[in-house]
Amino acid sequence: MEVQGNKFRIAYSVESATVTCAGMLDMRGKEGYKETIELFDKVVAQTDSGKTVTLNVKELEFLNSSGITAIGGFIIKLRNKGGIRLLIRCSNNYSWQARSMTGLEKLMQGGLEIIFE
Amino acid sequence: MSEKQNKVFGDFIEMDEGDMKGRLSLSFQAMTLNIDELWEGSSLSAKFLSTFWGKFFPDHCSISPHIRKQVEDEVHYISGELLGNAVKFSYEPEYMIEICLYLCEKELRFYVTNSVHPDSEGNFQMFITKILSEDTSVLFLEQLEKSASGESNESGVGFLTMINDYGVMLSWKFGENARGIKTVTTLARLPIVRG
Repeated sequence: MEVQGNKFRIAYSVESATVTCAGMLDMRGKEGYKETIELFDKVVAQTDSGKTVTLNVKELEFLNSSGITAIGGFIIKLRNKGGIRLLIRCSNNYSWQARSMTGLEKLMQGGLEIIFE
Repeated sequence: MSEKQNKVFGDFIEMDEGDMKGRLSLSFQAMTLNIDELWEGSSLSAKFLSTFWGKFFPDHCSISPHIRKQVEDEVHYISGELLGNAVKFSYEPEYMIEICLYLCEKELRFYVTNSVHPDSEGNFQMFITKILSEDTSVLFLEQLEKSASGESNESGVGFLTMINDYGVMLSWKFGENARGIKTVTTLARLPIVRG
């Protein structure tokens, strides 16, 4: 599964259970993230309890507030399904990631790990 | 604009007050482009502003924690969010959307002015009162939960992340121009250390 635009690429690998987001995500509102949210929803639907999903944002240069909301929604839906763990892989190269991604940790307390590489 | 008509929320500072080191402003009429083009234009403006203001900060510096890349990231995010809101909420097509950035000794000030629909002004002011008086970390999480459940359209997450993640101080001034158009100026103050 993949969603691609001029400035970004979001892909899901079933084999590694990894969603990779790269580039600049600065679309307009919920409507602008419609396809992204649909991809996230499919990942939630395909993930069974007891599994771990990885969200790799290491190559994500920019994320606006609507994108933060979309990723927040993904975390909440995984949490609500129950028994799923989420690993978010961030990069030290983009200073926004330490600020914005850590703010999402409380959405899935105990089930979410954020690592910086 | 009569002072009597102005309504201020938060610690609003007028544009020309203080120790300004530099100023850059961009203005455009909301009607000149369609919404998608306006959105693209505001994204490009935010990127341009971040690159421009980044030049005022050292590329690498062992003393200053505010190296250029970090400032660029901050200006990009804050300008993008403020311009995005202005584009979304402008309703008077001929009224100029304006972003004006001031570099001061200890802060960067972002002023963004746009027209606001008379019917949405009250709700906006109620939301402002909420974010100025309540715990913004809690409000942020609540807003994401509401959005995920389809209850809300994520409005306000941009302001909340500016406060929570970037240490920005926000304030607003509402007014009305001579033609009776309701306007709002949002001021975001980003603390800086130039080293």
